[in-house]
Amino acid sequence: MEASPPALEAASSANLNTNRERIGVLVLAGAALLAMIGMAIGVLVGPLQITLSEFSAVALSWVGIGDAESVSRVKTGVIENIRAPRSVLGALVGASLGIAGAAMQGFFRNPLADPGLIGVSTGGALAAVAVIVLGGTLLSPILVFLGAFALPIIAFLGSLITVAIIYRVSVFDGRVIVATMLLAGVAANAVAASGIGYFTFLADDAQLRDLTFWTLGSLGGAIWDRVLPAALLMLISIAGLLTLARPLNCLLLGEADAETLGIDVEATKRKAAFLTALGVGAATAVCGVINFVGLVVPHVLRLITGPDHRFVLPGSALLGAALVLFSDLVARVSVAPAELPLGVVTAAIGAPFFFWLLIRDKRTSGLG
Amino acid sequence: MAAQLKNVSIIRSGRAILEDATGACQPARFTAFCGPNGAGKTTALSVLTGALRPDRGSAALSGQDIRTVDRGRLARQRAVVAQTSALTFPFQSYEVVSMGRAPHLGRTTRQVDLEIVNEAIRKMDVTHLAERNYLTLSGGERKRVDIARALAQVWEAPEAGGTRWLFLDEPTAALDLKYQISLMRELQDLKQKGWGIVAVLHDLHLVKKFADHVWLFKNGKVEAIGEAKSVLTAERIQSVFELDAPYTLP
Repeated sequence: MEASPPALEAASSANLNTNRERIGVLVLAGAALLAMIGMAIGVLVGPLQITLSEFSAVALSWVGIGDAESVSRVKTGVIENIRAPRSVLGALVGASLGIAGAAMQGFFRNPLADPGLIGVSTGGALAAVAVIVLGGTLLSPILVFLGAFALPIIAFLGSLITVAIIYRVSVFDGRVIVATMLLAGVAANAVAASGIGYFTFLADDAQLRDLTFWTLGSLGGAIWDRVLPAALLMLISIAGLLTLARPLNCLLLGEADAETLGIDVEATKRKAAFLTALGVGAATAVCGVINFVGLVVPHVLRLITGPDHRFVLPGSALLGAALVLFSDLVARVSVAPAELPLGVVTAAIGAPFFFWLLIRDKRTSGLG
Repeated sequence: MAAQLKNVSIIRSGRAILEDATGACQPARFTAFCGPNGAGKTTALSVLTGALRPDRGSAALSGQDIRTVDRGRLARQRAVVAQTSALTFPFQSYEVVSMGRAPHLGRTTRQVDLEIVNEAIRKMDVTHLAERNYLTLSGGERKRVDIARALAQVWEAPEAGGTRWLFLDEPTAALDLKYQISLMRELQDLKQKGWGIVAVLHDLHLVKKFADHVWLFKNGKVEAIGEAKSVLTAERIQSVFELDAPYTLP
């Protein structure tokens, strides 16, 4: 074969790019499929077995096709009021945590910036717990004003304050000092954990479920009235973060380079921090602290698609949803009829993964 | 319309790292910033690119005060190649060059962007590196990818037919002789097409051979501005670089 002429070369290097994009699109489709399967299985599996045909009859009746007369009223009730909200919540929480992790790693320009590790989740949980315990007294006018949105919005503020503090502490001269960031996260987590412990101690049973709900997370509280307000905030966060894909890509080149490309770096970072805190805070308000989703999921995606946020952001949302849904399944069936806290399952997957990352980064001196 | 500084001072910790700098870089000319380490070359370049706000004085690009130019418009007018890249995520070289097209999002078709990226990659002779992880490249290879990104950024003439500007901070530092010379030829070529080229360069031999104008810096001040041949005299080189004896460039 002779050397290919320049025109062919150009064509093939154009394809290089589209090939990687093709992989990205496939990964997105696969992750979406996984998430949907996870949602469906979540509805079918439990103490009361529901068959796929029963579920599809009920699901079709929602969109006005046929009726669910053939399915017993008990089963319809379980699907509509227990399993479906739990599946929806699991998907949204997973999506929020996954995409929030990816975005936060983007604007910190560091792959270890995980909302759980650096205390953004526990910051939100502390705010939520404080509101529940103090809500009847100190904060009641605010709560009345915010209504059903009170808890997710206040958890969002707790998360936002934590992000702001960690960023201020760990960034020097436009560069994140990774060790400082992780240590600041340790400190923030410790502060929040002690606060959560204190408030759960003060609380009576009617105010709070137990400490494990807030520190290890659970989808157990999923009823539509609680799910919907948080769901709205999580959807806003996810949709907003998806629009930041290109600016975040440029930001990875470094802040100065991003500026020369016309990116408003400060605005991008502010938006990303705001939306990340919104998603993580709202998720935490309804399910407590669920760690490691935002660390594991974006990493897995970057290994397959590369760091391009046009794939990493939506992919992290979809794969995060799948991870939380399947983890919840494990949490529910492994010790049935009891239930494991969801955070136990995600930590069992995520913590070893975090160790592996640390070891790998030590070799490539990524922690410098 | 030139890229110019008017009485620009930059003060850091009470010390002027650039003091009362005035001068103009012309379109269709290759201007070199020379001088000892810490003399203010990079600082002056950063003021011209809009990255650094002057504490006193003003900077203008193509006749417009740089602080008033819309950031997107500025990004389509001038590209900057920094001394080092801060990238730590494993993008492929191709993706890095593609980011040069960010300011044109929604203004050009995807097909045009792809063609420009490919052209820029070919011009910098990095076609064989296109699929490689940028982080695994050598310093010189990275630099060529960075320059390709800058070329892709200002590939087409900006709005209203203005000048395209390319600012480079020590672009030859990591390049071997072959690529130093080919970069200089490339810059000459762009200059002849009307681009304004401004580069911080340490190698006075390259400067004398390829640059049209020189700004000579010392201790934060612009010592001399003019034609390369008339500025770079043996005596001035001796005094600016504090050499023991006059040094005559071949």
